[in-house]
Amino acid sequence: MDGPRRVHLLAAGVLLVAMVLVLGLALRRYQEELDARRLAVWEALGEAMATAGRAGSRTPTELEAWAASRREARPNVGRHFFLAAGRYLEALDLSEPPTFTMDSRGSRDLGPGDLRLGALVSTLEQHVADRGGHLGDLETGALWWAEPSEDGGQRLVAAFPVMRGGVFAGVAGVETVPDTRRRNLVPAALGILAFFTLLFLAGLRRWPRHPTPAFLAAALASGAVALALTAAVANKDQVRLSTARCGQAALLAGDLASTAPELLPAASRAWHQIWKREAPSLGAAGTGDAVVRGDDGSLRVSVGLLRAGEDGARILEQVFADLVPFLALLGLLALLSLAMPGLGRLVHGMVTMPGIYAYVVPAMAGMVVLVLIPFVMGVLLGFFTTDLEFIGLGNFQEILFPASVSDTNFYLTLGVTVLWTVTNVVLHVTIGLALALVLNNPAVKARGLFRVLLIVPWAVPNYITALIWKWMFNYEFGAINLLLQALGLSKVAWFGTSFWTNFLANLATNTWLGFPFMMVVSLGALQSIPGELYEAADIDGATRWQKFRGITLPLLKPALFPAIILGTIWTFNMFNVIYLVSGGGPDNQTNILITEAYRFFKVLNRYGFAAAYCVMIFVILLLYTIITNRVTRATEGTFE
Amino acid sequence: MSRDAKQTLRSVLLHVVLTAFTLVTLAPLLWVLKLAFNGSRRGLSSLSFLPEEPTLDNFRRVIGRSEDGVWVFGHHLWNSVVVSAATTVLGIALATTAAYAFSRFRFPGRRAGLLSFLVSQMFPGVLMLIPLYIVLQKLGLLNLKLGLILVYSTTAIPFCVWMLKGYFDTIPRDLEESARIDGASRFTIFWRIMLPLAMPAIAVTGLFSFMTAWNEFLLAYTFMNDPLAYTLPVEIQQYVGDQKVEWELFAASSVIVSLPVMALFYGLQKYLVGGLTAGAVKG
Repeated sequence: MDGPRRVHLLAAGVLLVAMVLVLGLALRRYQEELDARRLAVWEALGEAMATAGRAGSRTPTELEAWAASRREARPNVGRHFFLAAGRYLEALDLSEPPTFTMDSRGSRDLGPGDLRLGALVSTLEQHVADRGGHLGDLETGALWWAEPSEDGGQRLVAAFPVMRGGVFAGVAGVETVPDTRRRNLVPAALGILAFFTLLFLAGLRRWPRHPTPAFLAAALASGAVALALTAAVANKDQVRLSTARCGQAALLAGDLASTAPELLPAASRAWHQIWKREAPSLGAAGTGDAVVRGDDGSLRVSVGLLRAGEDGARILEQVFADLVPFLALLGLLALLSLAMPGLGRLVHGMVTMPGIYAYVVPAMAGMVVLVLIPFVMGVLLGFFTTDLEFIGLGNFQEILFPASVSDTNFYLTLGVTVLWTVTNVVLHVTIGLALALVLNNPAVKARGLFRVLLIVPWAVPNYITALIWKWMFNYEFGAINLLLQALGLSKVAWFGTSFWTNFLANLATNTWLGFPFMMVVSLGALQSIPGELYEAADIDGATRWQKFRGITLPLLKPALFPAIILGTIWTFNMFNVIYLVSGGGPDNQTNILITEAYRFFKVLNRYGFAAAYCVMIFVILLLYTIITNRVTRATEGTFE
Repeated sequence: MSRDAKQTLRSVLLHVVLTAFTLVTLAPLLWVLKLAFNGSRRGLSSLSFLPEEPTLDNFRRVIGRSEDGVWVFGHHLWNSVVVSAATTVLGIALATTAAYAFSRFRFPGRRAGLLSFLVSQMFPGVLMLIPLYIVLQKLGLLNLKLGLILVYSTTAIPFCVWMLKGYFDTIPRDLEESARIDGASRFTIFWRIMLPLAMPAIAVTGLFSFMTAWNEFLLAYTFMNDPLAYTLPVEIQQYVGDQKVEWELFAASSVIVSLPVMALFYGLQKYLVGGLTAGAVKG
């Protein structure tokens, strides 16, 4: 056996063992952490209920004092306290939240909870339809509380008074079922293992150009096993509709609606906020609280959840941070197993010619630590929910096969992104090339000056450019509207409700930003075309157009194709312009994939889903590059 | 019409169109410049490029910004200068060495390395935000300039390596061959021959590294906990924040931040054309 081959086999064995070990360790660690967190949440809830029990013996005056003290304890959050039908209620008041209205299909603004909320509303709709009624636009407000469940645990109950045109129309309820059982992660572990084995196999043999049936079968089987196992883990509901609790909920919400309808907006805002942030995992965090005096006169409070909610924000960071070494190792292993055949040669090479690798290692080390490992971690994050529950391909499933009521439409956003990229690149290349041709024309005077002036947009930091153009399109102070008025036209609300005005504003900004790069690239390429070619063409009596088609374009290709590919990738991921100019408005319609991912990351706090979105972006770009590279052979020769 | 007159007309037309286009290109910047020097707070009220009630007030307010006796602007400027300068130096050092090896040597992993640089350009930045945060935290680099410097230089590496490799490829090997015959070591060849010859491309590489660091705000905003540790772009961002929008202060600070970049850009622009395209058009 030769040197590289031996190294390869040795490394393969060590890797396989290490992979299994690390996987086991990581899963165990993750499981323990998750359990501990869950327990803490429910303990806090129990404690809160105990407090509530003590509060039950107090008089209304004492309750007022208690409420005041709580207000003082957390002054940064405005709250409504109110007494309704003998029940003491407390609701979050956010300074200026959106009003919470939804049509029967659910609104885009709702956040991740809307799937379940949508299901609720459709149930309700059915209910009303059965009695010959009809639900129009709905308003929902909600209350929630905790109470002991039959099996001695605790659970959350939430109730929505559903308003129709300001009139109380009915009630729906949701009950959360705390899942304190130890979640069996073995299937998930097997799924991951199958995945890595597949990678490993692929790496070991290289992906065969003409795969044998046996290899194909093995690959398909392990892929299917991974899919099936992860799907099995993914489909565990934490929240289920409860018809049993609806009566009780109805009582309460009905009371509230009839005695203090003016308080419903506040309650609904609180509920909105809860859904938005915590719906994927009601058991882990919460931000609203309600104190409810039950029929027996005892008070119950969900303040424990509020406390847990304050912890909730930190859960992700901590658990994830603890898992970093494992995740990073896993990522490296995945990469190494992909590069298996090369690995042996690489190690062998490093030993036999260290002098050469010394030049590459510093840059590569930086890339591995600060680009590759974060990337792999990000990709792994795509297989988890926000509080790090492994859900396999759940996020991808939601992206590719969205439920009828969803927060986002991947295909629509992809369409907008493609439109955005194509229009931009076409404009960049056309304008850039046209200017380059003009500037290359010896008849033009002061070419140097024009060139210097025309690359100014490139020199301005692009976030500043974006903000400048946002200002230019400003309705009141913007130069564009001033210009329109000077031309006798009426002002345009660029950032209004029209998709096209918003899109045009973005497009104008990015066109301004991008054409100088193409101009410089074309100019460089034009200058390298020997003048004799044109002279020869002149002698043959070629027309201007013939010269352009026959000489200029073919010779521009080697420089333009890589620039276009690069420009496409940049535009596809042009976060700054979309985010700073239109901000995705109206109603996230002009968002491209990357800004939509950011919305999930920052606004909706759905890290896992955002990561899955980013993985989709990456896959699309990778496919694009591979295909265009095959077709144009743009990078041909650069590896020589 | 005679042939000469026809050509003159065409030439005049060409110049008119070119001038008009240049004016359109420059207009946004001229208006920002005007806004920066404007005395009135109402934004633009006419399309002329001359400021109304010209004043330096906006610049004074931006530069003089201080809180609790601490000169905030000074801190941010210093952070930006240190981070950008260090990123440039580190970026050039890492990119030139790697590009030299990729251009001149054949070694196992070379193709994979080059490809990985290309592929890393497609990583969506949003995806990297949380993981990068955690990695920096683990390395104890959070809230430190060094953390930003390392992140920025690695961000700039792929583009720079590809560009430099393309440039190195165009330098004839004969020079090295004769140097090797004269007994020069590999490092001497790199240091004494390759680097001086590749100066234009290195200048462009440096410019890109510098711009990466000087212009970035999302990472700087996320990784720095202390507002005094922010860089200038974060400060500009805050003038057009959610609560308050002060376009005239934004304009003034934009001018301040853009000037060094533009100066560098124009200092190096003669290299830009050659540096960018040398590799691509060689075939």
